Amino acid sequence: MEIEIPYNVTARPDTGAYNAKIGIWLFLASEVMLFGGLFSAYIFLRMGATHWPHHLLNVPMGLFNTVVLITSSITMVMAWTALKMRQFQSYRRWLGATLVCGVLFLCVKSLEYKDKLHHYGVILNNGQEITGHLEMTPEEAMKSNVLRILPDAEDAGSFGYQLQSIFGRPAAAGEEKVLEIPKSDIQWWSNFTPRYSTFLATYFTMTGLHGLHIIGGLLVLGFFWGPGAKLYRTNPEHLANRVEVAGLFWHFVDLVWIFLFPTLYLL
Amino acid sequence: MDEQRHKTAQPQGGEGKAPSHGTGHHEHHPELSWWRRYVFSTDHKVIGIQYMITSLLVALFGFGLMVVMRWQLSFPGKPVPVIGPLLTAVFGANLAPGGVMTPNLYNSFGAIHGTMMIFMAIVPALFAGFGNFVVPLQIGAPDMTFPRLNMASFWTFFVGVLIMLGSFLVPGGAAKSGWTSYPPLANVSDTGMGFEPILNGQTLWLIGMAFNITGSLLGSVNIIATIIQLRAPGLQWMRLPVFVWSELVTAFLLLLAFPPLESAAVMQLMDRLFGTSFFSPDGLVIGGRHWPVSGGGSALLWQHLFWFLGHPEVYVQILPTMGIVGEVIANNTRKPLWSYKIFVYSLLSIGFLSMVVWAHHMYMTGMGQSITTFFQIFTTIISIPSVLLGTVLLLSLWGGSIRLPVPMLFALAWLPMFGIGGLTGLPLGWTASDMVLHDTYYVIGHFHYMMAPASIMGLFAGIYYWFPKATGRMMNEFWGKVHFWMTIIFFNGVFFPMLIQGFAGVHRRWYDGGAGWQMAQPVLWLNQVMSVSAWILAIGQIPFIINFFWSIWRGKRVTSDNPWQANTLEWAAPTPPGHGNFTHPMAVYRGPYEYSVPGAAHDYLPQWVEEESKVPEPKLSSV
Amino acid sequence: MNEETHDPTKQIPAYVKVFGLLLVLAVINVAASYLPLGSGNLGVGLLVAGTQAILALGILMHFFSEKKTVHYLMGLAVVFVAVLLVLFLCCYVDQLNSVK
Repeated sequence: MEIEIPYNVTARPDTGAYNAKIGIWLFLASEVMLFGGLFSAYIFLRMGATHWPHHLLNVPMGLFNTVVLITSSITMVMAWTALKMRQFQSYRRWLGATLVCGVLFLCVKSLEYKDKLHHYGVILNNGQEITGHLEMTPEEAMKSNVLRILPDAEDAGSFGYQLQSIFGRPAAAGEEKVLEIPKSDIQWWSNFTPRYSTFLATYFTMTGLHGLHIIGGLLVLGFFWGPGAKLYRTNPEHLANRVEVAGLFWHFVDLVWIFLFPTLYLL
Repeated sequence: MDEQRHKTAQPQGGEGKAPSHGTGHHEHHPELSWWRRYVFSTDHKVIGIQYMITSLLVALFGFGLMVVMRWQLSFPGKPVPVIGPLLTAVFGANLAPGGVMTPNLYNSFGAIHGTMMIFMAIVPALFAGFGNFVVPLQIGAPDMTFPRLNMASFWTFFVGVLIMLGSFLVPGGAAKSGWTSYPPLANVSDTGMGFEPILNGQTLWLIGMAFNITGSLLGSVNIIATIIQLRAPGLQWMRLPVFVWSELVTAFLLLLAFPPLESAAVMQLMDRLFGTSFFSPDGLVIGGRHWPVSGGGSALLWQHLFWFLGHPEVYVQILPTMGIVGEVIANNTRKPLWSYKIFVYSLLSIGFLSMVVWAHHMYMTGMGQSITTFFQIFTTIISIPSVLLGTVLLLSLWGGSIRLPVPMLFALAWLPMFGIGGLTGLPLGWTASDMVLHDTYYVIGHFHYMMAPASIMGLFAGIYYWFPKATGRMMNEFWGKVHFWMTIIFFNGVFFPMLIQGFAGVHRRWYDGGAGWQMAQPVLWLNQVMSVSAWILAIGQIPFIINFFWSIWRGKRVTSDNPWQANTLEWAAPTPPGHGNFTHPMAVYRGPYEYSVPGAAHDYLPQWVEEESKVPEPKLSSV
Repeated sequence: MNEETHDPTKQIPAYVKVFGLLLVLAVINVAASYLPLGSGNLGVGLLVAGTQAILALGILMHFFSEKKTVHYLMGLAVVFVAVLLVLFLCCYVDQLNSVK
């Protein structure tokens, strides 16, 4: 039933590309606009915000993830090169490395999410904001009339502190004491969910959407690592094209992260 | 296909090449199951027809909503006759007690009418329906570049339609915040007591739109890739039929303008499901209660993101009709378009400019002077290529030997409708006059002239024009003319009075049609005119529906592959085209509108014919 | 067709260089964000990210060696995303009754 579509594998001379390459670049153009919409929202909300947190997110973790994604980009392009050279085993290894990097990225990302959901913020009736960790279980906190909270250290935004905090609660540098705040003084308290502030809403939405793209990319790459690789036996050039196209998507997802990292973690 | 008709390829083009591998002849392949052939088909023609049928049904449904709303506007508070009990049965006594429309039901109908008509009827019919069916044929391609992606985009769209329709059945009914879904109203509507957390009108609206947008994006990727990659040898850019050009520009608009709305839909979903504040400003108080969100968002952000799509979307609806009308007019005047180049460059400039005019929908939101001026200037500039297009089409009539089959009637009627729609838009593009006219029925009248009479004239012109290619039979001429006159007269009966009411200051969102307002009394009688026109317009579509289905099986058979003696490639394909389209590889030797070439034997010179002396005898090929 | 279709291995040294540069730039970006530059931080951050993006797009995605069609497509997207961001910025800045 399949009719043969021209230029499926070979490039059309006047456009210099095979069909799927045009298709993926078009798709990437629309993805640029999709994330453009989100970044424009970021601009709008940030300009309108009275307060925009600085270095609230864990920068070392973000940097680690950046390195992971950059590495995965290189392994991806190496996988394609290997395929072009018809070195199948090498292709599988490089693509495998890419998959590992992608999974690693997601693991770190979910740790970050977990951290944020265990981080609490309290807004007092006078508008002051205190952030820190609960010294009680969330269930207790819901019932109790008093909130016991260990406020964040003075230097919680520093690189060293954040680095230590990955491996456990850093030794108290200052003299932070557990605060006991009666609920009657509190206007509002919550953990760092998307609804806590527009910053966190932006953070969770943008990284969440990016994470979905990573998952989608992993599924596609996983397919070409496993069952999809069978195509190598019949038409290696076609497989190379497919891997190139999947790789273009993967690079684009990295590219988005290259912008997400500074806008959300650093600035 | 008819086994009786013999199977030789038409000796067109004078190249006696054997049919290339894979073109035509589906009987050479194992017979596909019924499901794969007609339902989960990857054939662009089947998908195009699926799009067309689905969107025509949606259009009928959306029109039905409006027919009911027109009752409420003319006879506010009176039970809807005939279908009143049905309304009560479907929507419950809360929304339609005793067959009377409540404000909530009216709002639901209005919101879904707008959404479905625009996103799920007109655009899929014109862009995806004709785009899928006609574009690969017109460029001499065997199919779209990505046939399976094509199927995926149709089914994604179809799921979106089902979600949107299904949203009427959840507790509280469908979305009520207009087709624009402005927050914070849209953030807070359909929440709280009596509403499900996800299965409520507004959330389903967002999910349905997300599906629809995804389907559109996949479809536009496919159309653009097809036009770039699969043009037949010799079909250079400036030899493309204008319909292909219009589809190309439209596809780019959808590709680049839709994603920001998708991101906005994601953000509104976050607002509704996770309580974020993307679109909720500080200190939002609703019903005397502080709305429990962090605030800090911006309702204007939604408006910007929405209209960033919303305005190009207007051109998405009108550009394909320009292409269709261009094809039909060139074919039926038997002469080239007055200026193909101006036509194409105008299409391209409209495409570019339409991306930078969106905020003229937002003059009343407190934009500053400079940015308003910017948008005013570009809005005015975009009318230049639009007028050029209209002028090219109008001047094409000059000195032509005009034939008047039904598609030509619709194409000719498109011109004044487009004219009225366009010219009434100018005052809305200027702040000074927009201040007065904003949110009145004038606006409704203006954009409906573009979206209903103009777009739908183009739609019908296309259906009557390409019907013989799709089915091998002609639609009935007499009933086509009945349909035409009923449509053109009563379309104007519906929409022209809106312009008058708008000047009188009748607000577009009044649920009683203005009956409760002193200032509206002098123009109140127009409500009846519009409503009766709408109902007769509905009756006027019956000849079309009957004609359509009757002609599929009983219409007059065409005697030639090229019944209109047209020049573009789709008429070189067998009728109806089989899987793979052409019986031999296509090559193109000239531009698309070489009609009445001086000294030629025939008054048309098809693109696929190498030498003028070899214009084929009109006859029928078979697949 | 691309240059590297003939010998894809030729590109490997370039990939390695880009890898190194991307990593160095990421570290620079992090370091710069701790410097008290005021609003300059924003500029530096975006500049560094932009450089990284061009490197990744140009070399890893073979954009530099693609033919015109791809350049036009991406150019269109970049133009419109710039329009989107710049006009949004202008719209935000130029508001009546700004709550500031």
